Amino acid sequence: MHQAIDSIPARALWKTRSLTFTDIPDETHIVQYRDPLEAIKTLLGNPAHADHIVYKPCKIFSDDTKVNRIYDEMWSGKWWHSVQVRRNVYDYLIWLMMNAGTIA
Amino acid sequence: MAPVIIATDKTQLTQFSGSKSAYPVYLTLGNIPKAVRRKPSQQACILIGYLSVDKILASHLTQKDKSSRVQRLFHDSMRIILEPLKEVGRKGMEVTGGDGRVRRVYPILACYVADYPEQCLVTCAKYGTCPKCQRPADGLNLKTPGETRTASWTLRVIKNSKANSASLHQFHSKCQALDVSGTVEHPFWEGFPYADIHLAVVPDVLHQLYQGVFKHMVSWCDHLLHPSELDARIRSLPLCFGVRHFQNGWSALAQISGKERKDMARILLACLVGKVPRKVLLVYRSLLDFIYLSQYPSHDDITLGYLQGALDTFHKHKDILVHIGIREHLDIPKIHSMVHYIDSIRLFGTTDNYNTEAFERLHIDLAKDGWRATNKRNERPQMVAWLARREKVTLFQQYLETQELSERGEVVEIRKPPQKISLSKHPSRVGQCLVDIMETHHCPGLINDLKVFLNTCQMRGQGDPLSKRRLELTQVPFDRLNIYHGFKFFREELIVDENEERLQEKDWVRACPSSSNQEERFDPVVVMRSEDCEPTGVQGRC
Repeated sequence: MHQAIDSIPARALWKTRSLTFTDIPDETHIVQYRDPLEAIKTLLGNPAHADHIVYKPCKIFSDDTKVNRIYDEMWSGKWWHSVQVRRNVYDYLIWLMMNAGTIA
Repeated sequence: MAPVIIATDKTQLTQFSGSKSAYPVYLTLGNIPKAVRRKPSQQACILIGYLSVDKILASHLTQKDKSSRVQRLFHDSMRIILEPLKEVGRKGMEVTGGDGRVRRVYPILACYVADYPEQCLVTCAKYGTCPKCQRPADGLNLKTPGETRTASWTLRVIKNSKANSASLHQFHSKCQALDVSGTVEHPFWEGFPYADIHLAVVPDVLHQLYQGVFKHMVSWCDHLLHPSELDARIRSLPLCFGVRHFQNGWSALAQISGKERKDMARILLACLVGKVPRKVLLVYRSLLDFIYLSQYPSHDDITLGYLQGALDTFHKHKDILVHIGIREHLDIPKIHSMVHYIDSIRLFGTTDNYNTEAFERLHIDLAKDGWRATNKRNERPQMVAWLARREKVTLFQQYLETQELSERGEVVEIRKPPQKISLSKHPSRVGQCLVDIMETHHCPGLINDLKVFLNTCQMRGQGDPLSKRRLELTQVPFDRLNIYHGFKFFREELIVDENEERLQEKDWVRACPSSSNQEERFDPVVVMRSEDCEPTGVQGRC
């Protein structure tokens, strides 16, 4: 039974690192961890949640006048929006620089 | 983009003795709706590491040295775990979504959920100051936040102090002077793209408000009125649905859980009315308002205005606490933290997005159950193996479920609207004499009301209703009734969440006469009889 379960690919593999202070070499401190990127991939890749996952921020208002902003889930907050905008500007600049040669 | 939410919290594994504890690190994403995220069965939070909890034993180090080592250890461990996020945060990575589409995703550290000591540890703030702004420890009672701490500011302080000091000790004291902890030279969040750790540290309703602010409020009560008086007031509250009845008052409670605090918060204000100065009552009311408003699952600019209003009222009247000698000062980090709530809600969404309670629930599943499955010797590898297996089983289960759903095709579920009122199958008392009922249930008008009621029933059955006079002369054609000591009814849901299964909350109304083992209890019920009725809040003077 255990073997059968173990043969299924894991969500993310566990790794172990031990840390020591240079002046106290005989005390080791074990950190067990797994790759956060793998973790993120499995979270996003879970078919059970596929319909619910949101990738873009949005601004939600209570009515058409767009005066009263609603804050609810994380994607309705200002942080996501501002980072996404900065991200896009950054991408655009990179694109400009990369294409600078070809355009000029 | 994928906003990454990290949570750490140290937890005890053993319940009674021993010092086994675990230090799990959880990761979840802001992309997942909070309704899914907070259900442990959905596995939307993933455990990404166990930090070391071993004590530093070296005998030649002082206590202070040891604690600074522990802090460095924490930051080093976290750096190892989260290192991959830095690179990918800038460049992005391709991720296949659950729907099969490939997207370029930039995972960015958004929120860090932790309790106050850990917030200080994570942000390298000096213990006792605010991890989000630069208000000094004696300025925490002010109404506004100080200049925000930024990651670059903290790093600069650390770097400058490092450059100008010869010894570790000097470095430490130089940092402390600027309210930075000064034990860690390279915090783990150094170099994270777009992330600012001081912004990422989010308010926490359970620890800051209930176990912090509310705890203070309860302790102030001791000065306001004698504990036995408060206990007596609490005891004399009538039983009521949804409100816990503290039979022995509060002073006997030793360790108070989060749930108990919530039960206490419901009744505290009512127990103080009439015994404390009006201004103190205002302070209490505004703080409680703040606690409840901050938990709204959805906020808009107007409701955030209410939240600000509650905070303003508190700050306007808070001086009374100092005047009547309850406290010497109000420089309490947890009370100060309230000024940061509104900003955090605007930035990251409502507080239930980053509540520690959800993660504390995970402790039970991921850490405590895991520990119980081991043989308690060299338990860490066993816990990890156990966890990996459990995850696989759950994933497979979810897969089977989705498979089953797609095989069944589109099944439109038709939910029966819940019946409004439900009764138990059998009556609590059979064949009670009408006269006895009038006695035990304190309703002398029963027979008359029964007549009127039966008469209206007859009216609906299109028989001839009797005139009032004839009604008085008629007899009820029976003298015994079966009695039910209560009924349940379904509330109209306040929040209908489509992702969640309907919360079938039931209210239980009781009408029990006293018996040998139970006191009598009669719940008042307000019935809205026609469409024009509208429920409104009950207002009293305060």
